[in-house]
Amino acid sequence: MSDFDESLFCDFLNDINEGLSELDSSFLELEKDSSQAGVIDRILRVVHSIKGASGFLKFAKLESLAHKAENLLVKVRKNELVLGAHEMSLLFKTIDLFRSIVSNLSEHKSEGNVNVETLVAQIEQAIQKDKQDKQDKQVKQDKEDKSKIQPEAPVASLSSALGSESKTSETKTTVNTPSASSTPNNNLATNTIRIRIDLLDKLMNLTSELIGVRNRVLEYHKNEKNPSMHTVLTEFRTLSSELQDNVMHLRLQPVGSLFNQFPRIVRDLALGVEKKIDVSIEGEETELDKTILEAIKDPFTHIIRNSVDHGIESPAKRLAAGKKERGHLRFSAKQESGFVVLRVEDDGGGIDPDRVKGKAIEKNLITIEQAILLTDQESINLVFAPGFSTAEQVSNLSGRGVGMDVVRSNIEKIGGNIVLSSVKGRGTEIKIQIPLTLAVLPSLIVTVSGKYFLVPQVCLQEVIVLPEKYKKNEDFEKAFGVHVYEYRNQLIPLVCLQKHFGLLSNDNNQKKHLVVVSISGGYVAWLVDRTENFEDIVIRPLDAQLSHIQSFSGVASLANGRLGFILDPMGLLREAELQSRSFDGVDFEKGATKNNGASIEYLIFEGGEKSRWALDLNKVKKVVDIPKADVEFINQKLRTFYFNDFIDLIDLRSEEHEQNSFSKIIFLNPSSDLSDDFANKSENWGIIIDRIIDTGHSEKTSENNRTILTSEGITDIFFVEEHLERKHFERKVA
Amino acid sequence: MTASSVVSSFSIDDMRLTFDIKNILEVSYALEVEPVPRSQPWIEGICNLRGRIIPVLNGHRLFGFNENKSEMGRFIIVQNKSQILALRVSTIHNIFQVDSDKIQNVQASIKERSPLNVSVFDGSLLVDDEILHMLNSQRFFEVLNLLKPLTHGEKDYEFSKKAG
Repeated sequence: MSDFDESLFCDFLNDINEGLSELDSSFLELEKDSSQAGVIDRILRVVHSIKGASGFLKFAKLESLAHKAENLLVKVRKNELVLGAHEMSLLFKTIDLFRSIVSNLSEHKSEGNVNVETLVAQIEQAIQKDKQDKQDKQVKQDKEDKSKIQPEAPVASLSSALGSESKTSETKTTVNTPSASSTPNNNLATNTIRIRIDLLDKLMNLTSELIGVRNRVLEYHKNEKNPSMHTVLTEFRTLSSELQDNVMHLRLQPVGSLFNQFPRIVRDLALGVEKKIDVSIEGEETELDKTILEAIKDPFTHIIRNSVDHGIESPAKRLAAGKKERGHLRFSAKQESGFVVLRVEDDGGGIDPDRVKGKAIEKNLITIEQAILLTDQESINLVFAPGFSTAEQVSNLSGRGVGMDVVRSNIEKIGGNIVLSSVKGRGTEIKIQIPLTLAVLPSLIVTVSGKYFLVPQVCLQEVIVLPEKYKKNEDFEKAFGVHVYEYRNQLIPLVCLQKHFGLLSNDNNQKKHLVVVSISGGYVAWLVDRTENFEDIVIRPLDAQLSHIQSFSGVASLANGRLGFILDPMGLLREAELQSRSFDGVDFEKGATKNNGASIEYLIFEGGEKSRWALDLNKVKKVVDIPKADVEFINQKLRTFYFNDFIDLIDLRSEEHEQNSFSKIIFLNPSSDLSDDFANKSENWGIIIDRIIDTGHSEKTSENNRTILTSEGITDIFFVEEHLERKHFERKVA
Repeated sequence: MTASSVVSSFSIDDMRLTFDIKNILEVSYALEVEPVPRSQPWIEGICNLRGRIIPVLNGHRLFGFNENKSEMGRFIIVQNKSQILALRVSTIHNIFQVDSDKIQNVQASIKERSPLNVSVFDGSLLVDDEILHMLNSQRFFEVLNLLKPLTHGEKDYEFSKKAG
């Protein structure tokens, strides 16, 4: 045996062991009733995969034995051979021999000197003998009708099948290990076991329930003074989080198990359309919930088809455009703040906004008047419209117009979102952000008239504290018949949740908050009373009696014991009858800012001595007020325990703010571009600050990798190191 | 031999009803209810029954009676297949066996305001000079699940009325 991939070999052993135990139970079933076609099919599948895998790994003995057994079983399935006691015993012996060989393989990585030839010959004989019998019987069919059934009747019991084994004594010699059926199995120590999914789900639900109870307990003891109780609570918190993490991991699988199928798909598709495409994969070790992995397989296949068919040009076209002959398709996966970001990038011709618009008009998706008002990005987003397809000809890959809208709805179904960006002539990037798991949903709690609503973090864009004059819908500008809010030079529709849900207004003088959520490539603002904290919630479905309410995707029990309603941005918009007005992108166009990668958004905040700092908004996970008591000094480091993790902190506060009962902390995304020193120590970190000032845009200066902030309302212009490091958090005032 | 079933009797306002105990999960004191915006008027809200969130149906609104806000009442937790609902009733009486030959085919009168129809009843019983209307659990769930939500205006009105 030549050198082979160790992990492939382990997988092979695991699979074959599972296959063997399945064969055991299937044969027992078959023994009871040999006419069960389903069982034979199942056995055939297992034997066939053993044959395939052992052939691939060049285990000749296993392969030849599996091949023969398969032949016999195929005959049985075709009703050309009756499964008698003799045949049954041959099959059982086959399993035993499989076991001996596998046992040798797991111990010595070789098949050993197991004699399979004798058994192979016997099986062949059985196949031939039956053929002969059939021919004989054909002659005297009428007379021997009964005697035909007798000797070849289905086996009565396993013992009779095994009993006949002793008669054929020569087969004993074929088995190297005398007690082949019992001992080898004990040697096959495997590190994995199979667990039923429903048991896992139950375990997960129970854990989630426990986390809910824990959150409540912690809420009750928020101001706990007793040190021993404090210790117990900290332990409870840590242990339950660890439990949740581990249970969660039970369902996680590396993205590689999906991504590694892509090169083959791309190759086959590319051959079909005579294109040359290279594939590269990054981040295949990133883990995702198994159900999510299964759910994104089809959307990805759609995307690949589109890239190969529409995206990447033919070799001749590429050469004419001054590109390399071979196109490039890049798949990457990365974990970012509780989400997994998957990207598919191609260096093809990109999407032509004008062509998309033209097609959309042709297909009556939009009118010419609407088309004129569309920005390039909005035009590109039209590919997500149902019934859209731009392929000049319907090829066997794509062009039926059922692609991207299905992709988007499938991604949204699992709580994810998809963003398409494309530069004509340069290529297309599809970014898919999906939750790590479907079991818990990190959400922002907001209140409206004393009721609790939950905004899933995946769609949360920004929270804006409004000036006092904004209280209700009418205080906002109206455009095209609906209330709008000017968000980053873009008019976005605004829904007052109090009015939408018919709640009584509580006329207090508190400033209202606007929650901006991203939805299908656009934004919408929700007017709420207050925003509370973030919580990892367990989604509970709504009963059929309430399922007509589109605004909610479920309910959740909160740490304070109350029930909160999980808001569904798309459903809420539909219910508010705003969808068509807003996200066809027609009415709200107002010289929208296009993020072409040249500008970055910054969060600007104040630290000690009124110093001002800026931080790339993409790096900011959330800003939270944490009780002073929860920030501890451990191992010469400032730390806090937030949700399920210890977060390392850098303190930029002024002395006066240190006395406050709450610390304002910016939590940052664990990001790959942090210094190694940092990434090794802790994935999560945060900065304690005095206050948030604003957000601002900046232009990238490529030479020194530094940034100049030019936003209005900021008095200082300053540089910020692009790569923030905990130890040298530099600031240079220009 | 006549077929028999075991039922629990309860009242909503002055109407006495029975429900097959095979479909009753438990009876309890009123739990804390969280009103649900945009829901049908006979749905009071949802409550947390040991980790399971179930809708709470207001018996008075469901059977077309005027609501008595001061009355806490009791909850009957009813189940049909995987669906579980809480029904708020005025009082819960007793559990007894009913022989099918005692059931009279007397049509129960359903108030005009009630979204239900008479098909939810199996018939009536006369017990201690009182008429008990027998709810057919299967039909009760079926009819409930077929009820169409009201239009926007009605819902908003009903909900603000509820909240008030």
